[in-house]
Amino acid sequence: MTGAILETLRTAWRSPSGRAGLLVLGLLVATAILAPPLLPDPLATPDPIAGATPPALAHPFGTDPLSRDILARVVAGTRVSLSVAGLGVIIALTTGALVGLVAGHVGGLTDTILMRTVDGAMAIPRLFALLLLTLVWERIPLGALILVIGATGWFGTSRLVRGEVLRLRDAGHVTAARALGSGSWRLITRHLLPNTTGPLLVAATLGVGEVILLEAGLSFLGVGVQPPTPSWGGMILDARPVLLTAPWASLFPGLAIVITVLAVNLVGDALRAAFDPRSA
Amino acid sequence: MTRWLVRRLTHAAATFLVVTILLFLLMRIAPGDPLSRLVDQQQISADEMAALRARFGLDQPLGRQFLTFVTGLPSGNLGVSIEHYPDPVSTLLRERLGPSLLLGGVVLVLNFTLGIWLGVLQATHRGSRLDRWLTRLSLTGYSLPSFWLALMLVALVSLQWQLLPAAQMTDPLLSADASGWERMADIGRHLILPALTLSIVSLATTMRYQRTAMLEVMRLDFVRAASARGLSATRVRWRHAWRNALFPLLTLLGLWLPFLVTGSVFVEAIFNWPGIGSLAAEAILGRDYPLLQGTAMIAAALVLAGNLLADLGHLLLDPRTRTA
Amino acid sequence: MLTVRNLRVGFHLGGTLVTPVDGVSFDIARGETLALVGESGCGKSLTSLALLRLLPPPGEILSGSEIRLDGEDILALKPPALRAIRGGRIGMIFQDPMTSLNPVLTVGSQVAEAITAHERVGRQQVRERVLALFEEVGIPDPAERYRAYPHQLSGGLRQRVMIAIALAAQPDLLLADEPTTALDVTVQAQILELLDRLRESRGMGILLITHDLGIVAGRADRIAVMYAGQIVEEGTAAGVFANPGHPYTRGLFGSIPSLTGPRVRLSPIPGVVPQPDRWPTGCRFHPRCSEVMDRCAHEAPVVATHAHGGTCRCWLVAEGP
Repeated sequence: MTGAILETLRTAWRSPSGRAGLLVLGLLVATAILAPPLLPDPLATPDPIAGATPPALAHPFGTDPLSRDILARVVAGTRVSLSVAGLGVIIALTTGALVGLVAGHVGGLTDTILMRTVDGAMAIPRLFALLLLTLVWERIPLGALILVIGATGWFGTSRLVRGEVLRLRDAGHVTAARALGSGSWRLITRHLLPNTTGPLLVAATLGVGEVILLEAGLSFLGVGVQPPTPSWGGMILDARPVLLTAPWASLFPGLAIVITVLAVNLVGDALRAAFDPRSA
Repeated sequence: MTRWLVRRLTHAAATFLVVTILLFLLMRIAPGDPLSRLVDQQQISADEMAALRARFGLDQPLGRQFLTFVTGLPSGNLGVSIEHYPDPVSTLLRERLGPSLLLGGVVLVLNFTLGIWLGVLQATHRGSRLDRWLTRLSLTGYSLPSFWLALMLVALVSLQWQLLPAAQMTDPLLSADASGWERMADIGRHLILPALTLSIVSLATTMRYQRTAMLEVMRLDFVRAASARGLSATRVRWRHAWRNALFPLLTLLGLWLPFLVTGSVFVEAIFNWPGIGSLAAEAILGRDYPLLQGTAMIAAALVLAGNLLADLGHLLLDPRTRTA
Repeated sequence: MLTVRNLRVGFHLGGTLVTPVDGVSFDIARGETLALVGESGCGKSLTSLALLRLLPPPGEILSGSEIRLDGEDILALKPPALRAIRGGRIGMIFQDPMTSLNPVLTVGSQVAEAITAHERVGRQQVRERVLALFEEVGIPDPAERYRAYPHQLSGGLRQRVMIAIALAAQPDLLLADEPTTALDVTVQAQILELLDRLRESRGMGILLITHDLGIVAGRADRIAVMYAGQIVEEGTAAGVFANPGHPYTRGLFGSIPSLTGPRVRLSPIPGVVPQPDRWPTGCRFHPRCSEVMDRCAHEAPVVATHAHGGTCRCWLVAEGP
């Protein structure tokens, strides 16, 4: 698995735009990890009466209406957004892979029930499913938000994996491997994983971009990351009343979203091109 | 063909049943029941609460509730809104349908004309600098959060430069005896920013679909054979290649159907566009679970209808399946 | 009529240039059939595509190549003039009529556009000409077939439609790239028959590209045998059939002419045509040649005149056995 991820990174690195995306992402992650000790406390409100102040040396991105440092909050938001998206996508992929494996491997009624459920779930637009789920909580905890994002993102993966299981079951080399006495687990690791990691990693990368946007949207609607935890969408929500008087308060978190999602999508695009050269 | 249709309709109906069950279960995951929120907000006495429960059938066993829910669907009964109590969800949705259709329709037309043209342009100039930059530009649009883009456009175009209205679909100050043309121009001015926002964030998908489909077709033998006939490059591109690269776009068109009706939650909310999308945003703020659920139900039904129509369109437009 | 000199087709792949067609020269006169024969992968199809400048990207015709039609330099033509040649003076039919016809357009409209691309004719007149063409190429019920889609026709009928398209603007030269490979044996004979008849009635030249020497017999006036991007033997059909000079040609015939004993049946030539990026040094055929000599591996053979009056690219012919 580690090998596959390294190989994927290498693949993305080969294309100029994929390399740009990886560099930007690396920079963002490094900043999110290393910078917070050097920055003001993203939650501190030193001078609430002064309100939002424009960018200046002390506050390069300015401050928000509660006098909180926007740069510190954007960096803290990077941590939140990337962890929510990363964990959410990992949960979605794992769930999807497991469901797909079970459905394809067990077959019969289990398969029918699982795949009919997936058909139905895929018909509900993800935003609506997320909204209905997040509204279950009065104030949704971060862990629940991640779970909910994972729970609404695995349907496509399960179809992909199930399809691959069925294809392999009919293909010669698995029959041969089975005849030689390979166990199920061995079958999965030796034959299924190598065939699906490519498409799965492309889907995962593009999924991260999608989830960052979704999380920002949910937070903007007040049903995603809950204050005082800083999030990009929440910052834009907070800044909405001062859109014209303190535009920097909505500009910088928005730019953070665009740059991050674009970087992720550039990597995803480079990977897709590498795995499907005909459409490159 | 009839058998195909029956099979396909059966499948769609079964899927819709699953959707119904899922949405019904979702509603029951929420602690308490939909009415408890109402109680929190409006301080209703226990007696009144019990009466309301009976009124909404919430005192019935779960199975019976589900049956009531499902049997109400064919007659368009999606339950009663909490926020707009006692208005039925279906009435609220119907009132907001027009504006969503207008905005969605305009975006759809913009998106497809521009997306098809640019996608074909990219495919015919594959690997060129033009192709690469169009990919990067559209990918940037795709990476923009629509609500933020909408806010930035409002801040600049409406508030700073005062060029276009920032909200609503019509100007409330428009005189009552304004002519039809003036009214249309007014709506048009209100339409520009939301339509622009949605077009920017959605264009990349159409372009990519078209580019991929076109590349797929352009390497087929008959395209070269058409060139060997002495046809112009334009004619080969559109009459021969594009006609065959149209089918994947039908799928995409099917995906637009739910969006046309339910609109965009974010963009409609920011521009106060009186469509179903902003209704959904209001439902979130008011924690109006039945209303949101009704919207999700409509959206899901339209997803299935869109898939079905796309397949049907494919069947009718492709002579190979039409006469087979 | 058509003169090809030193035609070279190149592909830049990862910084290196490969030349799957490497210095091909031939002529075709009016009313003459030249058969270009060789195994798949030897560059025949690319040669014919190059004649109409229809090479798939990133393929290109390298400088130094020359293609002239009645003296006119095809490689120098601007797009409109090139379009007038494509389908106008040179018609082309392809190997697989199923994939070469647009599946979503009626066959009638595809023939019609081949006419209107070259002449300004009224709707009714175009229709009449299409029906006449259908008649000429032996499509029964022309009016009925006009409205048919490709998938509704049999393979033989589809190829007749392709021929009608190629003939639509009365070309002087017909390029037929494996015209019968995708068809049944009986239909093959009919299509070849039809091509022969059309050549006589219209006085066209035909470039017949095939891997099958069997269909060449009795039809071609001259034969050019191609191997690894080069023409290795060329001569009159009668001469080449009677006395093939190149071991590759003899391999294609599947038999060795013997002066004393009966003809000995051979299995197909062992091995496959090498990829264009790893052509052998010396004679490109030497690793597969049953009569290979020491020098064949190092020195490219010179083109020499063979006893049949044509030419041959083989040390056996240049030096004598």
